[in-house]
Amino acid sequence: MESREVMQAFLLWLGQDQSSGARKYEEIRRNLILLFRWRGCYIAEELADETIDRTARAVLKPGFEYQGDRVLYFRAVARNVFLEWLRKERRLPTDPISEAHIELPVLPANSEPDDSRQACLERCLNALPLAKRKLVMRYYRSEKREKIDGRQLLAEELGIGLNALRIQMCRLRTQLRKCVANCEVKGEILCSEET
Amino acid sequence: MNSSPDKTYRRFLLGLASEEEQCSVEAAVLAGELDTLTLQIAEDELIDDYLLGSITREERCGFEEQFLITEERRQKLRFASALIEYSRKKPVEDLSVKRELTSRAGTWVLLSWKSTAYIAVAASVLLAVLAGLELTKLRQQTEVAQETRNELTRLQAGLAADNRRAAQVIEPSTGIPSGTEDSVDRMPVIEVATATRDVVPPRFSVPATARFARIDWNLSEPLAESYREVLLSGSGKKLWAQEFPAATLSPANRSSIVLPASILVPGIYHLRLDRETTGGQFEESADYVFRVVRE
Repeated sequence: MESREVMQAFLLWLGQDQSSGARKYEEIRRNLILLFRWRGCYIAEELADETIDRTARAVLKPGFEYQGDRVLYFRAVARNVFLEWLRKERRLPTDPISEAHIELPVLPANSEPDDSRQACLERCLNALPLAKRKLVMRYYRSEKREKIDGRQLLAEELGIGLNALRIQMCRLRTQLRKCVANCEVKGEILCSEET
Repeated sequence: MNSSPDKTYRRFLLGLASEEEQCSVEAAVLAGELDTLTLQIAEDELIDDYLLGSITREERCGFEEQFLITEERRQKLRFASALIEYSRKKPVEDLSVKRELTSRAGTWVLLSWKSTAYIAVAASVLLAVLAGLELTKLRQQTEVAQETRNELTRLQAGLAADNRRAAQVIEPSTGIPSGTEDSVDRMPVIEVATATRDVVPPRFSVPATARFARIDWNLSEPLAESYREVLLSGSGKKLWAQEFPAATLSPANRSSIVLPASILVPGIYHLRLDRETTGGQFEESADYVFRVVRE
């Protein structure tokens, strides 16, 4: 925002007063960041702020009129911001292709970094309670079609729904990922706590 | 939106969503209906499918060209790859998660209608047994109470008869009531002479089975108005006393009293005669000492 006055005027456009406008501002910014993350933008916060700035400049211009949902207006601006960013990312076909676009998954890896990761992964898994360790192993054993059936069976064994299993695994995965990252950098295991 | 939300999210992440699908996802995210957890789960599922090969050619292109645009997602991909590799290396046996993870919740899950029925039947049997025990106990208590009541009635009847008999024989007249002569005749009799204290008290035997004992006392001189007889133990404790009008004495000036044999335990006794004075007071007139032995 360029100035305090502009910010106050923008908050009044968002809400009935400064306070409600500020709450709405925070909510919209949070959701914009999430939207850009869904879009795969690695600079989601930057793009969210760019979206808000553009919207503020537009709505505070003399003669601006908009009667619809404010969130819809943000959405339209956010899409433009995203497309501009995407074009910028892929501007010229002669540009070197970024590392992100050429990396392919390698399953059977014997390289040194993977050995280190495997060792850290084993240490982090062993730090988990036995039942959760088994759950992770079972979840990742099957492949292709077996994956669906295997996970469905796993959910039934646990007496929970498939979606509940996904949520449980998502949390376990996040915990393990942080543990492995920390292990690779510092050689420490952090995920011994119960989850 | 024609497809399921999961498929829509998947295409959105891969950059394959239609305009309509994009609008719906954008609107949901900006309205706060899609949280970070949903995004993480959708990303993880997509990565798993890619690594496990369960993904179409179009999706694969979208995955490599669009989805892996961020370093965070690339890290996730590497991690999932390592996890799958590690899991496949591990032996299959002993990976049951049922018991460990559902130990608490499973306890209640296992309480199905069958278990509930078993518990209900067991509880019913237990209640029936307890009720039977209580009934038996109550019946026994009733029988004991009935026996006690019968015994009490019998004792009360016996006591009443004894009291009637005693009242008849202890009546303050020296005459023996009619109808009780037989029993009175069988009583041990203590013949008390007019003489008072002897150096060696006379012995009187009272059978152990005797219920009453009669004491006959020949008074040496006539009494004016009334007199009182008092039975004392050897230590001077008053055991019995009764006042009589002089008119009830027999013409031979002989007094007969009947006492419960139970008070005559073996030992020395004093039978004292108190004469009434003109002032209405009593003074000691004679004292006879005797010894009781029980057979």
